[in-house]
Amino acid sequence: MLERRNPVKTFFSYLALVIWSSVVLVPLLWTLTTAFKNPIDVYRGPKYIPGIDFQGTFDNWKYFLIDQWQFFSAQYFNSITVAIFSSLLCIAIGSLAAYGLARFSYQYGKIQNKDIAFWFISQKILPPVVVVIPLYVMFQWLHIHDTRFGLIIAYAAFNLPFAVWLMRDYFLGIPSELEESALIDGCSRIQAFVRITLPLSAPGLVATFLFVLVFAWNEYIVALFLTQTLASQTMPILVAGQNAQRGPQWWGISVLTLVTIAPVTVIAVILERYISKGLLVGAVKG
Amino acid sequence: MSQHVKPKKGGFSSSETRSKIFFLAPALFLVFVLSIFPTIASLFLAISRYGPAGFGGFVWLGNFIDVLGNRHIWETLGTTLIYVVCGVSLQYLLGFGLALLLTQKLRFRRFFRVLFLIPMMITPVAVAYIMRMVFDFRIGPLAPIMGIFGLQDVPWLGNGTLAKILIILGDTWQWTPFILIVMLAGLETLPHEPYEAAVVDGATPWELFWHITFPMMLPVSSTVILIRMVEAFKIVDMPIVLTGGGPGVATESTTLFAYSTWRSFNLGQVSAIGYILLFTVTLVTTLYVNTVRRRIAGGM
Repeated sequence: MLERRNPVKTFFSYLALVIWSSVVLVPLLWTLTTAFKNPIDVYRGPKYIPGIDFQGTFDNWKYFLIDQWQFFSAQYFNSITVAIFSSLLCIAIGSLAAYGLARFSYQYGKIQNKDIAFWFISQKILPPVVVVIPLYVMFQWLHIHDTRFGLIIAYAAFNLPFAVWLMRDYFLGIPSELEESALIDGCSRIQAFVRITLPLSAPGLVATFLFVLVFAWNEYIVALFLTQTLASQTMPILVAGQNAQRGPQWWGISVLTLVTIAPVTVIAVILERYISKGLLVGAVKG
Repeated sequence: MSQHVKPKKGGFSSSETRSKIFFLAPALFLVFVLSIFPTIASLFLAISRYGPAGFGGFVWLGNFIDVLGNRHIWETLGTTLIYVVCGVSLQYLLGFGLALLLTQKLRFRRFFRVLFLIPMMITPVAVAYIMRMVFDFRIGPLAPIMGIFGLQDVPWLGNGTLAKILIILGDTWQWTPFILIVMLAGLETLPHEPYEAAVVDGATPWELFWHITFPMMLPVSSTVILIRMVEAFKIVDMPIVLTGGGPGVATESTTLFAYSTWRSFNLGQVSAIGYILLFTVTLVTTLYVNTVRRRIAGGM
């Protein structure tokens, strides 16, 4: 974009950036300080900096990470397991389908590649409440209700349309000449896919994986239906459940919020790299 | 990324047909088992009486008549629609504005990009709690400022309109980054030539925006709005934690209504509510695609 160096304009641009930065940062920093407050300091009105206008404490952290470790660790472990394995499954199956849609031409009656790709992405319209009751009944019948496995396959399926859509676009951007020469040299399709296309599309795979990982990590409503006990309950369930009878315990909620958002904040930093390199562009223009 | 590589017509060898199906089959299987089949089963539940005792015979349209005959569903649909329209509009305006800002050659651009991305990565239930803390003008971080204006007692959770506004603000805090990154990606692929020509003709920055940037961004805009719209219809995490649907049913979204019906174990009615929501989303999306998006595509 053309740039004319106009000091007034530059000033207002920075001002706008600072304002939105505060909008993003103030809530996050507030959560951070609240995690170190005693209940009395929370209720005594706004206190900002530990050691200056209130006395910081590690009690809230101790409560979850030591006293309640048994419960906390179970749910944190569930979240990690479910997010990682559902995303791996989703990427494995999704990239196969995406590759197929990008490289072959399917024709079943009037249905073509374009229609199959659209059919995948149109699954996103489906509200979770429509499918979740039959899933609940089905999972109970299969004895996978309230298990991590059940949640893993459910999340893999729900995130599949997104993964297929993004990966298909990525594969379309990779020239097929290399694969073709490998095929002439006697490679099978699968070998060409695994040995040539997959390594070339590593950035797309990683980025899609991270997106799906974040979706799975944050998911709440499906987990609410499909989990019941510590055997499979994830962090969002634990966080949401803090709306206790005695009113919300802000200091504890802040601790849980921070440990839940810490991993995804790291992912955000990595993902920004991929996004600024042009991931998403083709997928959104389609 | 562009679509310059066309899918190959025909194939390389005779085993091609078999491997073609191999690539697609697992994904189709997973979606059929965990998405299509449950959707059909849900329709079956929606026309049945299905309570704690299990299947209790078909009632055909009975569940739909019961649900639609009550004001409750219409109120939740209206509330959901308010979230969709107000939330997505606000997010679009802010997201587009911030994207324009970040295309400028400013210092610390990468820092701002990362920072602005973070809210959309946070669990919505956590965002809901964070918003409740921040918008508590008595003990929250904004208390001193709001005290000056005498606003420390704003009854966010006691007034239907205010509670809805709070949820829309929470949703906007979370999802503006999504619009931002997509619009930014779109802006960075715009061609330079039209700008250079217009600047030579003496166009003002405002004219550049209205006559070049905005029209050229319409396709991306319409897609990003479509995606957000479809997602916003499913809103439930934010109201569940922020307001619990209250006061009364003022902030209850349709999904939350379905969830509370599930708690009473009337599975037939839950499925009917789900289908009513599905019908509404499909209707609104189809209308949007056929009017707004078609016009944009035709005008380009």
